[in-house]
Amino acid sequence: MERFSNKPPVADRASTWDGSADELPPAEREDAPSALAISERRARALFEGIEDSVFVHDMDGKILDANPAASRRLGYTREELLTLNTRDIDDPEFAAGYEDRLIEQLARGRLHCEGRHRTKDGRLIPVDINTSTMVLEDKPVVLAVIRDIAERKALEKAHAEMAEAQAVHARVIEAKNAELGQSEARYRMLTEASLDAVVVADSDAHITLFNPAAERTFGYSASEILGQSLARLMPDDQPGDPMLQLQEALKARDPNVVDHTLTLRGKRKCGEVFPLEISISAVETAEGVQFLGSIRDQTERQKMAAMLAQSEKLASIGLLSAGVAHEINNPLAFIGNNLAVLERDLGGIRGLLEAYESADATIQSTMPALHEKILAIREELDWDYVRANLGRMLSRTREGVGRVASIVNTMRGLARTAPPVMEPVSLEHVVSASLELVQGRMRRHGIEVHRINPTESLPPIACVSTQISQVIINLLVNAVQAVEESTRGGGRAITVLLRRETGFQVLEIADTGDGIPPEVLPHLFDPFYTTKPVGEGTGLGLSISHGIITGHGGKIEVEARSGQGACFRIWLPERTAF
Amino acid sequence: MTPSSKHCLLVVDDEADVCDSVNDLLRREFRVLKATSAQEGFRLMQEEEVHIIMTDQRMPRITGVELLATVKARNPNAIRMLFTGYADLESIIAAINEGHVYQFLKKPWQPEDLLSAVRMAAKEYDRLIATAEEGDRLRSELASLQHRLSVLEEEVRLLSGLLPK
Repeated sequence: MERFSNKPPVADRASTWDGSADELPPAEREDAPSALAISERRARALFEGIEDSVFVHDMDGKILDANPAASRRLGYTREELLTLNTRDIDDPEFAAGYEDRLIEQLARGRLHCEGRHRTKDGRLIPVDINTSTMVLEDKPVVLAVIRDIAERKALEKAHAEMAEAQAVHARVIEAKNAELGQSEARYRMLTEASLDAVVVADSDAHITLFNPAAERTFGYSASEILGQSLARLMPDDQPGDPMLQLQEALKARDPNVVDHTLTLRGKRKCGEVFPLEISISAVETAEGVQFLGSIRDQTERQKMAAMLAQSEKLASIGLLSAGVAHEINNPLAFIGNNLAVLERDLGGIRGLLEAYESADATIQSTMPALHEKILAIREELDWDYVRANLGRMLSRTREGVGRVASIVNTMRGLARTAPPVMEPVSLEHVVSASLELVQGRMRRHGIEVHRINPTESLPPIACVSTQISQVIINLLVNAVQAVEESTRGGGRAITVLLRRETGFQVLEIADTGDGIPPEVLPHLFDPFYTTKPVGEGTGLGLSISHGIITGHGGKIEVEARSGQGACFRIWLPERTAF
Repeated sequence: MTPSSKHCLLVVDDEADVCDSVNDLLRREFRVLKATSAQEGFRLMQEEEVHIIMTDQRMPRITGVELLATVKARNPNAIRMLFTGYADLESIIAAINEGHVYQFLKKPWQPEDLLSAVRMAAKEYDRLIATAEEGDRLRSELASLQHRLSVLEEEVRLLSGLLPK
């Protein structure tokens, strides 16, 4: 401190400390003694009273001076400090950077850095150091003002820890939120957006949840069904008390009911009873046990299954009948042939007999016994009738064989061995051409034809036009017959409608006939099923039509109610290439 | 046609009833041979001069098309006919295109159709034979003409040698 106090203020002025020395007016420096003393006292008070540690050290780091704050903080006496180097009080890691700091210090005249000091008893204290270079007794020295930043560091650390804790917390909250969101989404998915109708009921079978799919399936809105009994959703025609049985089964957790998939029947608001598949599970909640039923409407599936079964049945019948047809053809060949031979030879036999008969009189006179015998045989045979009838009988038999042959030939059409060639064809044209062929018959019977075509022109579809035409003619002829035979008054008309449905072209042929009785409907497409008198229809038309349409990747359906006419619908896929 | 000049027709079908039936229908106009197997058919063709052969397509061990292909090689003059109750048109179309089959009939046939088909086959056979005979006659005539030509040429050569130079 003495050494510092000995230093004239000029040294300060020469330093780069700051510009304050320059602000001193030259006049003040003129009356040196008193002003110097005042300045020194002021500097000393400053040096000793400042809370920051102040060091002066030379370029090698040797400490030249230190203030009381420095002694206090480091635990060394001033005398001890004056024997030390900055390296002794710098923590080794910080001391290692001394050279680099000195270079920067010399280059810029000042330096600001953070480091760590080690006290006499070995504690480390974080410090903030501000240094500047100055000249003291013609030697460059470093003045270092050091602030203890332990508190600030602690505060910073606390801040950082807090920030991190907050971040962690935020993440946890976020994760929790996401989880909640997910489970909510799951819940929504399970109930709201589920394709399955979800119905939840409490242990008294009162409905507590009814999702949108359930609304669609049953036709009730959630608001009108919530709180109601499950019985509203079940058909009334079941024996016993199914509600009671269900309630008991649920209460008892009957393993055949709970956690099990059942096939039952449901009832829609409109009264329609439909097949459904239901999986029931029991869920324990705060309000007691709830039974969750996941319900799938099976109407479409049963329809599909029936259609599939129908197609498979027809396909196998087709294959079978084609095989049978081939087997029948062999005997048919020689039966027909033999009949022709019989017919031909019968002619010869009749000629022969006539020649014999011309000798009747001679036989009667010369061989009366033989003549008697001949007469007896003739009587027995009823020869006059046989002679007149044989030719007719044979020709009818040949006709019958011809019919068998044509049926067998049609049967072969049920199973096509090679796929026919498909070509892009306008369905509208095929319809026109087919109508043309039936037009005459319709006119004769005074049947009107209403054609409804789509406003847009339809693209051609890939099909075997002769086959499609065969189907259309078949349906038109059936329609004509239905109208002809109709006993109910009303228009005598056939409506032919062509329209487009996504991916398909649809042809509807509707008649004003008596419709189709419900008992006939399931057999409509069965081969050999016919309602026409024997010999008038083979009963193959619709089953062949069915085969042709499914062969084209389409489908054929009939909508018919007794007394309301029938409407056949054909869907053909809109593909242009195969 | 006199009985002795009847065309000879061989019918091959593993079902004897078919063979008999064909025989009954055709025997007045044709001499009909019956075989219920391809082997029997080949044997009969070696023993007799067969003008027309008609066979079923589906038989055990050998198809009608295969049988007719062999017949074509061994007995090219015989008119070949095929009938079938099956819709296996692929092989039949191929056989027709390859020339193994002259006529194809579907079982069951109309007896009138069979008759006219066989009559046509007989005519075709006669035409083929007539053409072949005409060819033979022309060939022999040509040969004799060539012979005469070479004789004449020889004479010309001899005569020209005698002429004064």
